[in-house]
Order: sequence, then C-alpha cells, then structure tokens
Amino acid sequence: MIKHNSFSFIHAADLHLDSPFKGITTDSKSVGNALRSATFDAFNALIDLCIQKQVQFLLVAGDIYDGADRSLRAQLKFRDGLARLAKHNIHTFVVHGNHDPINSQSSAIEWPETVHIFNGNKVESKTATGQDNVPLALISGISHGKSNETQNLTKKFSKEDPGVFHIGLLHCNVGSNTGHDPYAPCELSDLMHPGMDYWALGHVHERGILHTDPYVLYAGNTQGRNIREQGERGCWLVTVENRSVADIRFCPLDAARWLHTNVNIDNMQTVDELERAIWNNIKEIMDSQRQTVAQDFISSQGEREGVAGAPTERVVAWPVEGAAPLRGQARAPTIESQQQAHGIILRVNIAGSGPLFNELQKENAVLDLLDRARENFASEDPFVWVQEIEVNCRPEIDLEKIKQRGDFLGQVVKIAEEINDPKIGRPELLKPVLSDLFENRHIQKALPELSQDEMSGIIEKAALLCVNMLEGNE
Amino acid sequence: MRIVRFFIDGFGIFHNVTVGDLLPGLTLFVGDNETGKSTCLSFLRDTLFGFRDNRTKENNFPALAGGRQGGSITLTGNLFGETVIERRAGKKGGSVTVTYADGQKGTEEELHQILGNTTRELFKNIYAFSLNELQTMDTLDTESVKNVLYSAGIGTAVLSLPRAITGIETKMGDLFKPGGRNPQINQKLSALEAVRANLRQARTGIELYDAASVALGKKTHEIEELQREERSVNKQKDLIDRYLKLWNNWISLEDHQSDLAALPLIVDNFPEQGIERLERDLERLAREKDIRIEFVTDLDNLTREIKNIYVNEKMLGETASIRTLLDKKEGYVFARENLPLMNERLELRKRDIQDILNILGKGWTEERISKVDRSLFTREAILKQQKLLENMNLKREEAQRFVELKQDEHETTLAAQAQAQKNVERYLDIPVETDEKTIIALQKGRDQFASIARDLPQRVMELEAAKKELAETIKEISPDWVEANILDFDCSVSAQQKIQLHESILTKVVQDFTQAQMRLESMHIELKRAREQYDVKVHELESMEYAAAVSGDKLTRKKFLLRSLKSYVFEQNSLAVEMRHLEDRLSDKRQETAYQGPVENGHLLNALKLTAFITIMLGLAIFGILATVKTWAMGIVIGSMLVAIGVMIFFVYQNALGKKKLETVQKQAYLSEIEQQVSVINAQLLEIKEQYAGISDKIAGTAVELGMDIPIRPGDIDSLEAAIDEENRVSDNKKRLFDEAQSLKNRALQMEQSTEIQAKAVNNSESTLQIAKEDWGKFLLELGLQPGLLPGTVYLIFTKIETVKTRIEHVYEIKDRITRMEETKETYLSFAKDIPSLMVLMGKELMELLSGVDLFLEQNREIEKRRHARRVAEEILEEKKTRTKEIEDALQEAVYRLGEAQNDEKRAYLFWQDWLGEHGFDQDLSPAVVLEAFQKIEECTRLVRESSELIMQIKDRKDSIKAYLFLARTVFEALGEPMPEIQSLMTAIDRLGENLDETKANLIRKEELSRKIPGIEAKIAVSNAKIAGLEKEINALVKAGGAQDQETFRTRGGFFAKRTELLNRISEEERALKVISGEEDVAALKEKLKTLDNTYLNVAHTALSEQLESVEIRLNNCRQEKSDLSQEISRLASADDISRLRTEEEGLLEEIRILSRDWAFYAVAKYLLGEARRQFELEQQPRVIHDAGSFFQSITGGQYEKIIAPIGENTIDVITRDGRRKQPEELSRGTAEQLYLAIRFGYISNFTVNGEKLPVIMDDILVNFDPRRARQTAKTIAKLSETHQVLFFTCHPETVDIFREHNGNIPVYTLQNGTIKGIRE
Repeated sequence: MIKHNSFSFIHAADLHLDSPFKGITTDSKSVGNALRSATFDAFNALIDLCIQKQVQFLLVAGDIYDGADRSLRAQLKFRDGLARLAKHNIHTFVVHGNHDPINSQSSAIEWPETVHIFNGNKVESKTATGQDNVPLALISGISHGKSNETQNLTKKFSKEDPGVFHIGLLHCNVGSNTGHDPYAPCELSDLMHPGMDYWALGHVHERGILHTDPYVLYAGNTQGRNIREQGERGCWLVTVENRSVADIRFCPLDAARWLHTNVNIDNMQTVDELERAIWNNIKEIMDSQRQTVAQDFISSQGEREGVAGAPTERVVAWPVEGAAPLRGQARAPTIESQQQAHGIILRVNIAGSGPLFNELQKENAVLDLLDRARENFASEDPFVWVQEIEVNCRPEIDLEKIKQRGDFLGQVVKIAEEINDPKIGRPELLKPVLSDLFENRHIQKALPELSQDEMSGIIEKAALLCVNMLEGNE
Repeated sequence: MRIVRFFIDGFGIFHNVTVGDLLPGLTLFVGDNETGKSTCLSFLRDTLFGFRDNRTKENNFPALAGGRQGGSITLTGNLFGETVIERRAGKKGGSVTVTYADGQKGTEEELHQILGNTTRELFKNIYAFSLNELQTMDTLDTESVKNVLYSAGIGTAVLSLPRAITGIETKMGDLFKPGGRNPQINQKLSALEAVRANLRQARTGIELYDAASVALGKKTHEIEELQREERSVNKQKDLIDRYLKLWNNWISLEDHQSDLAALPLIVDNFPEQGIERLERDLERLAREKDIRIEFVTDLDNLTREIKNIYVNEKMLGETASIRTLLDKKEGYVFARENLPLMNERLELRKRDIQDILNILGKGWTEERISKVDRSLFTREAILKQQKLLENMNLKREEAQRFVELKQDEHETTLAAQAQAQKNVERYLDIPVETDEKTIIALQKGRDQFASIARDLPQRVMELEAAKKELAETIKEISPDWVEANILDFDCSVSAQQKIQLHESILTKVVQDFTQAQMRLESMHIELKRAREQYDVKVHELESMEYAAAVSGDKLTRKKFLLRSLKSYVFEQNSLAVEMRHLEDRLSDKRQETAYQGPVENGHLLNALKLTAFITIMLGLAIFGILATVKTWAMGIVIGSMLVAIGVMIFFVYQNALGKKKLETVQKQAYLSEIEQQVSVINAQLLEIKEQYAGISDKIAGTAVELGMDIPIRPGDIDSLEAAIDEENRVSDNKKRLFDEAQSLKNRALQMEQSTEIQAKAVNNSESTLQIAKEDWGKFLLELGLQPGLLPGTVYLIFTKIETVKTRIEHVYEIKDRITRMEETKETYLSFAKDIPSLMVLMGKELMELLSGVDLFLEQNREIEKRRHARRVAEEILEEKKTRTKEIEDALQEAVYRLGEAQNDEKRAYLFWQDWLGEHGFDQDLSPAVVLEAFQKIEECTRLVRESSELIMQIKDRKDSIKAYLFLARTVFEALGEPMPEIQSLMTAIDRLGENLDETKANLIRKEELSRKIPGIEAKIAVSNAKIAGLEKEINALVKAGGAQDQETFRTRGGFFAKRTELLNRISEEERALKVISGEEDVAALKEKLKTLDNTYLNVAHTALSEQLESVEIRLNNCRQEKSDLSQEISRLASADDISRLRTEEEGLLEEIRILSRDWAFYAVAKYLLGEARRQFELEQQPRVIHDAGSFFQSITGGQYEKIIAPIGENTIDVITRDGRRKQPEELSRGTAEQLYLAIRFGYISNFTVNGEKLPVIMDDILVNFDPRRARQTAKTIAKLSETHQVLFFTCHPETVDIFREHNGNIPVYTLQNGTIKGIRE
C-alpha cells in the first residue's frame, strides 16, 4: 500500500548463505537436508517478502556468504535470488563484510542490471528511483576490501545533504561489547552524520535499533546457526514517508529456529516420567510455534484485507551504549510474519535434583532418551530436532553432608570445592591433568580452550561422579 | 585375660610338665635350641585351637616322652573366671573339655566364645607368633587379617576405590589416547583432518568456475567460426554434387539425339501396334483351321463303331427265369446232398428213447413221461424234504451225546463230596473260644507294655537327676534365683538388640572421642605449620618492601603515560609521512606546471606561411622567364607545379593555425586547475603542520612527566618501557606474595577456628561418653543384673540363661513322658484281669506278668491256627455239595431233550413217504433217487422232440428239388435248347447267366454312341464361320498400314516404332536434367554442361568432401569441449561439497567438543580421587596403622616416622624421617620384621575380645634386630605387657638381660631336658 511520497525497502544482513550450523550432529537425512538448506530457505523467504511487499529496493549489509568457505553455490543462488527481484524491477544494493570481502567473489558471475555492489575502495553513492525515474533515496556504501578490515569505515562517508532520503549501508562493529569480531570498528557517535537518515548495518547477529535520529539499525542474521542464536531471525521492513521513517517492522524469515527448554527432575521417580515431561515440553513448544505462525498469518491476512490487525509488540533492542531508548516512540518494531512453518532445533536442559540423577548416569541412559525423542519428533512437519539433552541436574546426595563426614568421600568433595572456589580456587592445578588432551596439537586446532564456566561444571560433575561410583552404585 | 598355668601330659618332648602361677605382664622363657620353646608355643596354640592330625605337613608333636598327647591350659578372665581348657588328641582337632571354676563343664563352642571367636589364623599370626610368622608380610595379608588392619574408620567407599579408578581410566582410554587411533576422539580427529583436507580441495571451486567460464566463451566463438566455414564448403560441394548427378543423363541425351537424326524413313502414322495385331490374327486363323479338321475325323469313327455291336433278343425275353435258376441253384444242390444224412440221424434218436424207457422200468412209456410234473418247484420240494430228514437225524444224535457227558460228570462230583466230608470230620475236637476283643487288646498293647515295664524306672531316675542339675545351674547364675527368675528373664531379640545398641553406642562414642582427640592433635600441628609458613611469607614480603618502592598507582599512571607517548610519537611520525607526501605532491604539481611551459608563439607557422609565398612567387617567375624561351612548355609545367605546391603549403598553414589556437585555450584551463589543487594541498599542509606542532607539544609534556630527556632519542622509549615492565614485574611479585601471605593468614585463622571447634568437639564427645555409660548402667538395673558388667559379659549371661531355659524345658518333658507311661500301663492291666490265667498274676512284678501274657498269647495263637483249618474244610464241603446238585439238574434236562429229538425225526420221515405216494413214486425211495429219475425223464423228453423235428425237415427238402427241375426244363425249351443231364445241369445254367449279361452290355453301348453324333456336326458349322471372319479382318489391317501386302506392312511398322522410342527417351532425359539440377532454364544448363569435364568434377568433389569432413571433426570436438565445459560449470555451480563438508566438519567439531568434555570430566574425577587418596593417606590413616606407626617409630628410634596403608589397597608403605616413602620389600630384613611387629602391636593394642585383652606369645623374635633396636623393641614389649600378658620365649640369655634392664623382677622360666622350671630370684 504505497502512499504518495512514500516507499518501502527491506534491510537485511548476515545471510551467511551455505555456511553450516554449528554444534549440530544429525544422522537424520531429512533434518540434515533441511538444515543444510536453511540459510537458502531463509534467503528465498526474503526474496518472496520483497516481491510480496512490493518494496522499492533491498539492502544487504554484508556477510552474504562465508568467503572462507568459497561456496560457489552460495554466490550463484544469491545471484538467482536477485535475478528474481530484477524481474519485478526491485533493485538491490549490496555491501560485502568481513566474511565475504569483495576480493573473495567469483569474477565470472554476471549480476542483473538492477544489482549494485559497492566497491571496497571508497564510499560510492547510488540513487534509488521510483516510477518515472523519480529519485527516492540516495544509498551510500562501501564494502570490506579484505577479511580483516580494521579501519573505521564511517570516516569515509562524506557529510552532505543529498535532498532525498539518505541511507548509509555498512558492515561494521558499533561499540566494543557486541560479542563479535571488531572489524570496521566504530562508535555510535561516528554515525551521527548530518543528512544521513538511516544506517542499514550488518555484522552483529542480534537485531537491534541502536538509535532513532538518525535511525541506526542492525538487521541481525536471517537464520540462526548455533545455540547462541536462539529465537526468530529475519529482516526489517521500513516504510518512508516524506523523507522520514514512518514504520519499521520486523519480519521473521528463519527456516529452522534454535530454542531451548528446561526440565526439572525434582520429585521425579522414573525415567519414564522424565521422558514424558520432555515430550510435553516439546509438544508445548511445537504448539506455541504453530500458534505464532497461525496468528501471524491471521494478522497479516487481516492487514491485507484492510482489517486493523494488532500485531504482537515485541521490543527487540540490543544494549549499546548511547542508544536512544525505544520507549515512547511512535512505532515500535513489530512482528509481521510472512513466514512459513519453521523447523525447531532444541536443546533440553535437565535441572533439579533427585533420585533420577543416578539413573541418568547409567551408560547410554541419556543417549537412549535423546534417540527416542529424535525418533519421535524428527519426522514431525515441521521437524523438531532435539540437538542435545544436557544433564545439569544433581543427585539427591547432599554434598555438604558428605563433606562434613570427614571420610574419604568427604575429602573428595572438599578438594573439588576448593578447586572450584573462585576465592581459593587453583584451576591451574588441573592444567597438567587435562594437558594430555587439551594441549594436543590436533585438539587445539579443533576446539577453543575450556571456559571458566565449563571448567566449573566439569569439576562439580566429576565430584558427583566420584560419590556416585564409590557410594551410589555399590 | 591371661594364662594362669598349663599342663602338658604328652606333647613332643614334654610329658607331665606343669607350668603354674603365671603372672599378668611379661614372663620370659629361656632355653637352648631343641629344649622345646617352639613346642611350647605350638602346645599353647593347639590346645586352644585344636591339634593337627597326621595329614598336615606341619609337625603335629606326638607324645615322645610318654603320656597321652594333650594337656590343659588354665585361663582366667573377668567374664568366666578361672577356666581349664583340656584337650586330648583325637579326631577333628581332638576332644576338648572346658571346666569352669565351679566344676561345670563347657563345650568347644563355649571355648570359642571365651576366645571371642578369634580364629586360629588370627591368633597364630597376630598373638602367638614365631620368627617364621614375623618374617613375611604374607602372614598379615590373609583375608581375615587384612580386613581388620586396613579399613577401620575410613568409610566403606575406599574398598571400591581401585576399581573406580580403573573404571575411570578405561573410560578415558576409550575416549582418547595420545597417539592412539581407535579411541573415539582420536577417530573423530582423524576424520576431521580428512574433512578439512577435502574442504581445502573443494574451495578451489571459484577459480575453476571462472576459468571454465572464460574457456566457454572462447569455445563458443570458435564454434561460430567453424560453422561459417562449414556452410561455405557445403554450398560449393552441393553444386559439384548436382553436376555429378546430372552427368550420365546428359551423355544419354546427346546419344539419343544423334540416333534420331540418323533414321532413313520417317513414318508418322501407323495403326497402333499394327505389326503385333497382324501376327496375332494370322495365328488365330491357322489354329481355327486345325480345329475343323479334328471334328470331321471324329464323326467318321463313331458311325463305324455303332454298326459293329451285336444284341440277342430271345435271351432278353427269358431274363427273369434265368435269374431265378441262378439264385436258387445253391439251395437245390444242398437239399440233394443233405437228405440221406437226415434220415440216418432220425434213426439214432429213436434208439436212445427206447434205452431210457428201459432204465426207468416197466410201465414207463413216452406218454407217461410227458405227463410227469418236472417243474422247479417239485424239485425244490424234494430237496427240502431231503434236508429236513438229515437235520432231524443230526439233532437226535447230539442230544444223545450230551446225556452221556452229564452222566460222567455226576459220578465225579459225588466222589469229591465224599472226600470233603471226610476232611471236615478230622477237626471235630477243637475247644471253646475265649473273648476275642480282650485277646486283641492284649496282643496289640504287648510291646508298648513291655517297653514301659522296662523304661519306667529309668525315666523316674532321669527326672530326679535333671531336677537336681537344673537347681544347680540356676544357683550358678545367682544363688538367690529360682526357676521363676529364669523364666521371667527377658532374653528376647529386642533385649539383645538393646544390648547391641548400647554396645555400638559405647564403641562409637569411645571411638569418636579418641578420633576427636587425635584430630585435635593433628590440627594443632597443622596450625603450627601454617603459622610458620605465614611467618616465612611475611619475612619474604618485608625484604621485598625495600626492593619495590614504586607504588601501584604511580606505576599505572606511568604505564598510561608511556602508552600515550607511544601513540603521540606514532601519530607524529604519521603526520610527518603525510606532510612529506603532501610536499611531494606539491612539488609534482609545480613540475607539471613547469613542464607545460608558456603558450607557443607560432614561429613554425610563420615559416610555413613564408615558404608558401616564396614557392608561389618562384612558380610565377618561372612562368615569366620560360615563356620567352623555346622550352616554354616545360616552363609552364614546372611553374604551375611550383604554384600548386605553394598553394598546398598555404592550406597546411591555415589548418595548423586553427589547431594551435584550441590547444592554447585547453592548456590555460589545465594550469589554472593545477594551481587550484596546489592551493588545496598548501592548505592541507598547513593544517597538518599545525597538528604536528600540537603533537610535539604533547610529546614534550608527556616526556617531562615521565622524566625523560628532551628531545627523545631513539631507544629512550624502549628502555623506559623495559624499566616500567621491570617495575611491573616486581610489583606483581609483591602482590602475589602479599596475596599468598594473606591466604596463609586466612588459612591459619581458619585453622585456629577449626581447632577451637575441634576442642569443643572433644569435650562434647567426652560428655557423650559419660552419658552413654550411665545409660548402660540403667539398662543393667532394668535387667536385674549387677552394675558394672560389660556388654560382652551380659551376652554370656544371656547365653547361660538361654541354656537354663532349655534345661527347664527338658525336665518338663521327662515328667510328661512318665505320666503318659503310667496311664498306658493301667489300661493294659485292666484287659489282663479278664484272663483267668493272668488274673492269678495280678499284683506281681510287671515282668512276671509280661511273661504270663506272652505264654497266654502263644497258646492262643496255636488254637487259632486249627480253627482256621476247620473253617476252610467246611467251606470246601459246602462248595462240593452245591456242585453235585447243579450237575444232577443238568442231566435231567439232557434226557428230556433227547426224547424230543427222536420224536421230531420220526414225524419228518412219515411226511416224505406221503409225498412219494402223492407223486406216484415207490414209498421206499430216498429223495436222492427220486432226483436222479427226474434227470432221465428230462433227457427222454428232449429226444422225442428232436425226432419229430427231423421228420418235418426231410419232407421240405424233397419238395424243393422237384420245383427247381421243372423251371429249368421250361427255360431250356423257350431258348430252344435241349434239357441237359442232371450232372451237367449246373454248368449249363451258369453258361446261360453269362450269355445274358453280355447281350445286355452290348445294347447299352450302342445307345450311348448314337447320342453323340448331332453335337459334332454342329461344331463343324461354327468353325467354318470363324475362319471366314478372320480372313476379312487381316485384309483391312494391311490396308490401314498404307501397304498392299503383309511384307510392306511389316517394314513400315519397324521404322515407326524406332522413331517413337528415341523421341520418348530424349524427352525423359531432359525432364531428369530439370529435376536433378533444379534449373528451369534447361537450355542454359546444357550450355554449361558442355563446358564441364567429368574428371574435374570428381576431383573437386573429393577435395571439398575432405575439407568438410575436417571442419566437421573440428566442430564436433569444439562442441564436445563446450558441452564438457558447460557440464563442468553447472557441476561447479550446483556442487554442494563445501556445504556438505562444512556441515560434516561442524558435526565432527561438536562431537569432539562433547567427547572432550566427557574426557575432561573423567580426568578431573580421577584427579579428585587421586588427590583425596594422597591427602587422606597422609592425614587420616586407620587407627591400627596409626598406632603401628607410633610403635614403628619407637622401635626404629624415630628413623621411620609413619606407616601408611594406601587407601583401598592391601599394602603398606613406610615414611622415613626425611619424608621418603618405601615399600616393605625395600627394607632390610630386620627393619621389615620390626615393621611387621609394629603392625601386630598396632592391632593388639586396639582390639579386645569380650572387652578383655588376649595374652601375647612370642618366640625369639628379636634375633635379627641390632642391639639398639632390640633394646627399643624390648622396651616396647615391656610397655605392651602393662596391658597384656606377654610370654616371651628366647634362647638368648642376653635377651633376658635386655628385658631386665627395664624391670629386674620379670619372672623367668627355663626349659631343659623336657622340663620347664621357674626361677625366682
């Protein structure tokens, strides 16, 4: 529904086409295929959304694919998607990021005329036009020329007022605590160029609105790829009226969604009970996800038919110093779903304490649970893939009491506590204990070092194992 | 508990030896070798735990000096008082007698209880040992010993520790091994390597794709070129192909046209197919003429044949008669020949009839026979009569035989009955019967009565003894107690549990108290150590204070300043570089301006202009000069050339002038742009210089603050940085030391607190102990026992009371039995009274009465036997009588049946005679004879019938012969021939038949031939008409061909045909040329063909074909390559290797992550167990080991500090004074023995039996000890003897001296020549 003097565009980033899911092991062919195609499916959904919403143009703010992977397939699929947009006369403006610097592209791929890829040397500006070649917006952008760009690229943008809606397209790391590599680092203050109306950013995988005057937004990635990237993923649909942002909506696109659930074993007596609880949780998650899709479908239907649908408000702010508070704004980011049903990748966390702990220590007990859950839910449509059942529960054993006993096991518990106590802890004691494996050359190439939290968990579990072996299973 | 004395009756060299008045504490036994020290030790062990029999390999000490193998040991203890254990050699360790102080005897079981269930093994290895047992660890390693040594007080968990550690190690090994291949993580790592290698390969995809795309473009172009070439060659080749195809047609056409021109006569018109038509008509004419001739010949032949056929008319008239004669001819001949034979047969029949009549007898004629009823019914009736008669006869004979049988049987039974009667009469004299019930009662009760008679007095005595014994036993427990006290005493399980509870509480509380004390002690030591460590750290720190003067804040500031300085210097350098760069650019721009130079002034152009002018003028001059001379023409040429050149130069000048102007304008614009750029650069340069100056100020300021010299020399910053790093390191060290000191201080503080808590805990345990003791006292009161008893003692009392209870039950049991016996006796006597012979014996001794009963029962048994025999005989007689009666009845019945059978037979015979009479037979005849007569009558009747038939047949034959002869005669007469003789008549008749057939055939033939004639005549007429028509047609055709005769006609026809053929061929070839060439203009084509040559065409065709083939091959190759490239491109485009491999890689990484965490988890668990074990071993050893350590330390004079029993392992380690750890195998023999001795002492000092301490017996164990240690050990033993009785055997007098050094009053016994004597000094 385009009003006079208004247009809309989509801001997406970090497609990471054809890059794999991390921390996934699956023997299921169908789930494996679904996951391998998930980044592409999300991208196709993005293209469909552009066409459906009849946007004027699409902005892609870097990390389209993983340059290190050098996946030709990804580049060609990206081209095919943009070619579909070209058929609908939707233009695309692309910058490359640290994962796909401009030098990692294939030279043989021919891009549709509607696609503009910004170079990696200097900031270029391109005008996006509407019907009858009326200029709608000026898009300025610069790609990363190399994979480890350490310059502050915002400095290369000139400060000017082009007389139309001005968009800065950039892949950069705003601030210092994003949890991402500090490539193209800059501060929010660097983005306060006069005359810039909207900064379309990529790099940080959590979407967020960092600022509203001018608008500074991260789109987040279109498809979560590991357990740290939980929940829905997608793009921003931005409507501009009279040279100012009139509406911003978030549209989920992900084809597979990472989620987690907790199950408490308190008061549970049998593994069957636990299994039932896990299954119930999974079913609830499936229902709630289905309902979300159904509701979104209804609301988007309503909107199409002119009924005032009230999409669920969901504030998706990402904490960055200096970001303006979102409260009190005319329009908060909202969900607007065009999304088809998505698969679920689930991590189940078993917490609490009880007699079941011992059962779960038995060989293959957790594996069997996992196998059965997978067997039951992997074939659902859309699938639910239980990636891991993490046993973080405790036995009914009161370690404090054991410690007080002063016997051998008491000594074991005491040592474990001492090592694990941050005040008197001596984790370096464990270094030689673990060196066989963790200082192995091959392992170092495959794994990061154990974090403090991981180490802490391992020590506690180890103490429980000792108690269990020496006392529990006599 | 201690040994008070022992007595050896016979054991090895000892006989009748008593060692008495042994005291508590240490006692020495001295004797040389072979004087029996080991024998004594063995005697003490074996008497308490059993003698060895001959089967063992060990010495079983037979009594060598006389006496019976065995002896006794007198023990005394709080619980059981003085008790003598006596053992004699025998089975299963020998027989034991336990005699308590009051003379009561106990069992071997009680001996075990006295020894607190100590096993022989434990006693031998711990309490009563020789050098043999001491020298090896194995004696401490038996199951029963090690369990008590190693695991007291450390929790049950450690027993499974080694298993747990092995389990963890196995799991770790399953997960990962450095350099391994099969463990899970190793496998995954290998897989990861492989996947990553493949991934590197797959990542070249983009380069391949780009290269392939370029190659594809080139290939497409190449294909287009080749296609163009192919089209051109194809066009040329097509043309040649067409000419080659036309060539043969072209040659034919030429030939046909020349043949046409050569024809001599031109015939344009001729009947169509004229020649053929003429020849055909002539042929038809000739054929028709031949047909006509055939028909005429046929007609002549037919007429002749008809005339020659003959027919006999007379014979035709007699046809019917002749046929009849021929038909009946055979019948006639047969009748004539058969007649005499039939007459003969008739005579024979008549003779046979007469024979039968004679057999049947007088009165039988043919007529009578015909009247006899020969029906089947009659014959059946005869057969029935015959059967009936036979049947009756049989029945009568059977009845006769049955009667005879029964008569025989009757006689036999009568004889048996008489015999039985005689038997019965033999038993008539049996006396009258006694009362049977009484006899049975006496009989049944006899054995029981006998046993009562025998046992009763004994039982009564037994009861008395038991009562007495019981009373005594009760007195043993308590003099005041009676049976009731015992029965009321609560020995229930719950009461025992209560004791157990009290005992365990007591033990636990005591143990807790001891442990708490020990812990407190060790805490004090730890605390002291911690304080010392803290002091050391503090000292270290204090010495540090002087070294590090820079405070932390200052250092931080310095670091910050240094960082700033470095960044300023870096910035300054960058600005300098940029400045230089800008200056370079500025000078570049200036040079550029200089190179462009000023605008050119146009010297060259002016020169051009002048040249043009001079040239023109020169040309005009030459015109003028040469116009006057002869060679004017030449002058004009040269002049005009020069003028023209001049004009051209002028034009060049004009053109150059325009260009020059344009360039000038452009250059000016460019210069102004450069100037503008220069000014911009200048401005930038100025700005940077300002920045540079600012930075320099900052640098100066920072350097001053850092105390550096200005200007900063290269290396200054680095050396300053090094200095700050050093300060930093020192500061870090200080901080670390401070932290460590702080943590030590905290630890000391914590320990102080813990120590206080522990001290309180000790007090608490003490009060708990007191309470537990009081509770125990109360409980004893509740039980009615005196206070101060130990739980072990109460157990013994319980056991005793249980025994007494059993005895009381025994007494009651005996009483019951006696009562029951009395009752049974009385009942029996009441029966005996009824018997007179026994009545007399009443009141006498039971045994006398018993023999009376036996006599009576014996007599009664004899009478009973005879009575039984008579009963049997009477039964037999009864049986015989019954049998005789039965037989008599049967005989009567048989006689009656016989009479009836005889009557039936008679009646049947009469009936037969009546039947014979009725049917006219003799009454004497039997049925069989009558049946035979019936057969004869039958035969005769058949013969009469045959005779009548023969007579009729003879008459018929004669009549038929007569009729035949008559007909024959009539026929011959009609034909006019004489009647032949009878003999030749048949031949004549046959001849007549043949003649008749012939005449008939001739007649038919003649008629057939006559019918053919008219048909032949008609055919001849038709043939004539056809011949005339053909001749007319031929004449008309010849005329139409323009000829007078047939010959001319044929010549003209030939020329016409030739001409027509050639014209057709020419037309065909021309049409072919048109079709093949595709040309409309055939004439032009012909002209073109005339100019060509076949050979040339073939050569050109071959060349073009080859060229085309080559192009096609190249084209195909190119296409193949293009298709390959396209395929490669689409393969690369669709290849998902990377995606797949990356997924695989991530999957493997995740698996490795999970597995490595599992591994870490096990590794940490293993560490925890190991560390806990190490600490536990150092700090908290089992009590036995702890005390053993103290003994060992004392024996070795402090050379060894501690003994450690590694947790969960059944081994021992020792810790030397300097902290080294050693295994027993590493110790010298003496030290090892001291270690084993210390362990024994550790055990002995910790364990009691029923609250008492067992005596300890040692056999010369100090021999391997050096004097110092021997002395130490003796001291230790002396200390042990304060709580335990110790009997020490030795062969070394100096050992005695060593012991006496401490206590001169130690009692000493000497062993000599099989005696043991006490020395009181």
